[in-house]
Amino acid sequence: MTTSGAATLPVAPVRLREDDTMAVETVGPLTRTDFVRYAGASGDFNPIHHDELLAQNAGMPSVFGMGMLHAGILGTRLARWVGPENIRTYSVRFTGQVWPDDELTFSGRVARIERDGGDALAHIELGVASQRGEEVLSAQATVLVES
Amino acid sequence: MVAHSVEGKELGTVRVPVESSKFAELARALHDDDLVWHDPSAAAAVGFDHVPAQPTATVVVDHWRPDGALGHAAALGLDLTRVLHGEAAWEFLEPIRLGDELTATTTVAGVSSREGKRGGEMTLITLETTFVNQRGNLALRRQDTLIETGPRA
Repeated sequence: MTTSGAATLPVAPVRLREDDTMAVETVGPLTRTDFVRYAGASGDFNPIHHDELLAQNAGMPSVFGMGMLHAGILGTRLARWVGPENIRTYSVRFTGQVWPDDELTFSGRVARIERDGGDALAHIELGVASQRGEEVLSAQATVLVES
Repeated sequence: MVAHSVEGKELGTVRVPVESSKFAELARALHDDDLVWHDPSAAAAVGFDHVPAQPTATVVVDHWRPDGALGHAAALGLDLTRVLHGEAAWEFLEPIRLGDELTATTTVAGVSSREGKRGGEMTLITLETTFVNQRGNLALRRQDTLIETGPRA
């Protein structure tokens, strides 16, 4: 599932309230080709993400996805919600592995709104979960929103 | 095991052109086919006077490092079969736009160790990369935490 080519991104800060949620999106099932495509796009050629024999020799059941792949997918969904240039900080913690055939669900919620001088900042909590119900990434962002 | 003495060590500087073909590839790799991420006319149609960068787009810096994404870990003497990416954080200070030329400098911000959950000592290495644009302004500060797990028993 991908977004439409006609979708738009906000330029100006958007209006957000506490407990507002990002549109939930599921991506997958992810394939080894998805990992290889991200390797080529990003420059991360760690063979543990594309070389099945090497991964198995290292004790893994198979290759697994780069954390930056789902961190990046989540980042674009956050940007689509709040506008890419309104994001002040974005931080992610990798908490689980992503395997071939995983379907990932991306979500986010406004935890609170704070004043910073004349600006309003939303503190947003985000996460990525697999179809096994496992959280594979947790994230936080601070975002300039409409005052 | 990495010595604490590498704290503050500079791991090199590279120049990174911000290009549309890499932006298009990244958007496709991230399952987001919005043309705004790489096409100036699509960006203009929604009100941008430039093509904006995806939050994690500066990952492309790895293409310009002689040893790629693993170069820093290797340069620090980490055992690459035991290295995990634990955390990443971005602080956005000035928008990064298609056509920018960035200078990225990475330093070792911190080294610490602690007992791992499954026994064995884990080493946490925090790398900080600054991206300065062609106007001389600090546009982005990125931190990465690498974890070297203890040797397998």
